Amino acid sequence: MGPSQSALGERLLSEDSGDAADQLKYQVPTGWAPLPEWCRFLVRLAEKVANSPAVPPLRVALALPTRSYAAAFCTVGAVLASSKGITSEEHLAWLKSLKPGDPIAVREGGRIKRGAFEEITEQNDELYVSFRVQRQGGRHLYPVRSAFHIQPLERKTVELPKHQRGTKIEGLSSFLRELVPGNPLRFLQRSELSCVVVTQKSLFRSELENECLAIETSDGLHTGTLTEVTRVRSFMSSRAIGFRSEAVAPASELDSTLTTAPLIIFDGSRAFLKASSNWPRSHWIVLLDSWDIAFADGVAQFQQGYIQREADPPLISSLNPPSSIQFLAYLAR
Amino acid sequence: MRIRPLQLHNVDRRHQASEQARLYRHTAHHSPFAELSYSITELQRALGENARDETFWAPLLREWKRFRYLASVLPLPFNSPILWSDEAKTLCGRKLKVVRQVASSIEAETAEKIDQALNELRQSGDSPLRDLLGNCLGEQGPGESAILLQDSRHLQLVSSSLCEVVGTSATVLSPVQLKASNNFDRLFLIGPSKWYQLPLLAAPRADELHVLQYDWLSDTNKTTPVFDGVRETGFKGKEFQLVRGIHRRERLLEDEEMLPAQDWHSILRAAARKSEDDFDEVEAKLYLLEDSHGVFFEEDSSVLALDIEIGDLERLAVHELERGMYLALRTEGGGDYMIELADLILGKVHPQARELQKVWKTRLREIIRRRGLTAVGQALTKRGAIRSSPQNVRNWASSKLIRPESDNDFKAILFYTNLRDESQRYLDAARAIDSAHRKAARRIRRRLISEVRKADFTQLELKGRLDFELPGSEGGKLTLFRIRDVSPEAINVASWQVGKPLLLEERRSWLG
Repeated sequence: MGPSQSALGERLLSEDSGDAADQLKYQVPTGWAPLPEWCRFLVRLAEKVANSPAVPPLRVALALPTRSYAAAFCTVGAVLASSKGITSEEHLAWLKSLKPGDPIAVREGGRIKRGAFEEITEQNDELYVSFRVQRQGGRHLYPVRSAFHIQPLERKTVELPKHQRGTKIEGLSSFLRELVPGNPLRFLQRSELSCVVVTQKSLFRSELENECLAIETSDGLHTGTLTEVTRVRSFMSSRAIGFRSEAVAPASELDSTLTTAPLIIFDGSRAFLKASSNWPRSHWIVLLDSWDIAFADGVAQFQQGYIQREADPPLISSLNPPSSIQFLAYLAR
Repeated sequence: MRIRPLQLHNVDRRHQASEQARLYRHTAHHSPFAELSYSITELQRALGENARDETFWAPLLREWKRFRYLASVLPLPFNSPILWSDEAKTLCGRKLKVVRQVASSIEAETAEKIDQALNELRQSGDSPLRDLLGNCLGEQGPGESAILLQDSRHLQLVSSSLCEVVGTSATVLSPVQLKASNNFDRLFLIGPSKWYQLPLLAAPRADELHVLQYDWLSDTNKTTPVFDGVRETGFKGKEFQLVRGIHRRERLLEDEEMLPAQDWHSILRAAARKSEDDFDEVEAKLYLLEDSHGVFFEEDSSVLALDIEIGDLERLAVHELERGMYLALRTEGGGDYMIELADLILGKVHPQARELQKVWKTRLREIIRRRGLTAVGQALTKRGAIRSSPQNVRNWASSKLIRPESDNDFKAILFYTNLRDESQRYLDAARAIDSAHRKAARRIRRRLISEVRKADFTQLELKGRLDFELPGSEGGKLTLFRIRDVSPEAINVASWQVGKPLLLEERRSWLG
């Protein structure tokens, strides 16, 4: 493990995230190379858009020489933006807000157990969290200082079993620990829809799963794939918890959890032309591939929105895109 | 199998090419060909509207312009048969005879001069574009080169000609193949870059883009921003650098004079067949497909299509079809596939059910022939029909429709055609046929989806068509065809033509 578990993730989200992303590497025929500038730009851009105020919606279109991997890196940016860690004070405040019996998730080793909160108690000048994970047996005490092992459980109530082995934590790799800011456990345990990608799902999934990336620290090279960080709901096993994004085909019927997503990434002109009307209040990133048949139609439709815009956005022009990418952004009415 | 994703380092090469690619132009000059090209344009301008006259001017101009265009985009000698076929020569000879008799002396004289110049070129082994390409390729260092042609039909011919004469091992490819390829070190375009209608300057698939063209043709000289009228979009332009030849600024021939255009009137007229059965005429648009095929579809119908960007086979409304999508059509097996399969599903009862269907339709058509659609519609209304407009009556009589949607309408027809006593038999038969057709449609779709999922879409992208053998009782061949274009207008065609792929004559796709 490197000097700080989440150092790279924090830096990736800072203004100088381009420099931090230099530590992400990808495979070239001769070995490992720093992530190309256009990938880092897409991560930065998606993070900026995801962090923008919800109203008015921010709309960004990118004209690209190819849209391969563009949605994948934008998803990474959106997910990281929504995954900023919380402070110990904030976590303690959350613990203190719990009422006896409230459901919690507790990490023990590589497993997650569901538990019921009891109280915060003081012993020998130290604060402890008290909780149970089984119907029978005694209560557990965790010092509050290590209480990041305790996280919210996405349930309204919890029924404790007689015995509990817990669920194996999927996806907690050293690559993820290095990349994700804050507490990776919280990242894995809590579902949060940071973005919806409207795309050809099989190809998007292949891009997320097949390309091996790495982060180099003093411990060595930590390898992984983008699928570990993007945590796309429909690509995860049904028992997995902690999704971070979702991918849908342009013609899909949408459930209500998707229509309120804060950021939509349209992977290609046809995805944009077909599905953008489903998300009038979300932020958009529209990825337009110059080689797509419907490219000109996609550009024309986006420009139509630009003509009717509320205002120009203040933050995008500072992003300094690589010259392979042209972009247009506006704040929608 | 879905489209395989590129590896990230290959994607990065595409971005790098977009940022850093160098654009080079090489021009060739050939005086007799240049003069011939000018003469064709001048004559066309002088003729004005008469240039569209199909009796002689339009066919003549079409053949001359075809020669001029092909000689401008293919690195082949002027005497190559693909540029000027015997069929074209015969046709022009015939039309010129008419011109001599009826056209004004100036126009006839110009036409004679063009014909003479063209005949001289046809004897010539000159090949300015191939020579230029040979010189360029000879000067290149190591690395992978590719030659881009506009039309995949010419790949093999050009490839073997270049291999034989120039001795190059460069890959010759079509735009569709280039789109799916990894980047090259050098890409050679034959003909002006804008004729390709591809983002070759903004997003080239090579580190160097070389345009080889005649100096009397216009072309774009620099890249332009994607988003119109907007500042600060991240746009940094690139410009061509002239390496060989001259950069002519006058007497340039423009795209609209040079490029082939779809002669829809001519294509539609050739594709549509006269129906023997007046009641089976429908209004349909023609979809031009890869590999010189076409297919008619009624606008309010639906079709099984593959959207390769979305990656699935789905039934789409015909009005949703676009260029670049893929249609699933039966290309082998004969007859109407749906009917064959529906008959199999009907089993033993199919001859009787079909016979009953034939009886009421034949009687209805006979009455329509005698009394007309409006009168029949009114008569049916009196007998309880609720939707007997002339158009609906026509549809009910058509063999494409199994039965009226409403039982009231159907019963009125049976009453009117003196089949009232056996109406239950006719209703049952029609219901059985309808149900069998629905089952057949679902079965075909399932089978096709299963076959398509095993297919290599990369091959489909490269070739524009892909054949599937369907095993078992549904045997036959289905083909996915890429849509190249859609006719702007619908025309009346025989209903049996709808949905069936037609082999089209390539010669028709030119405006004179």
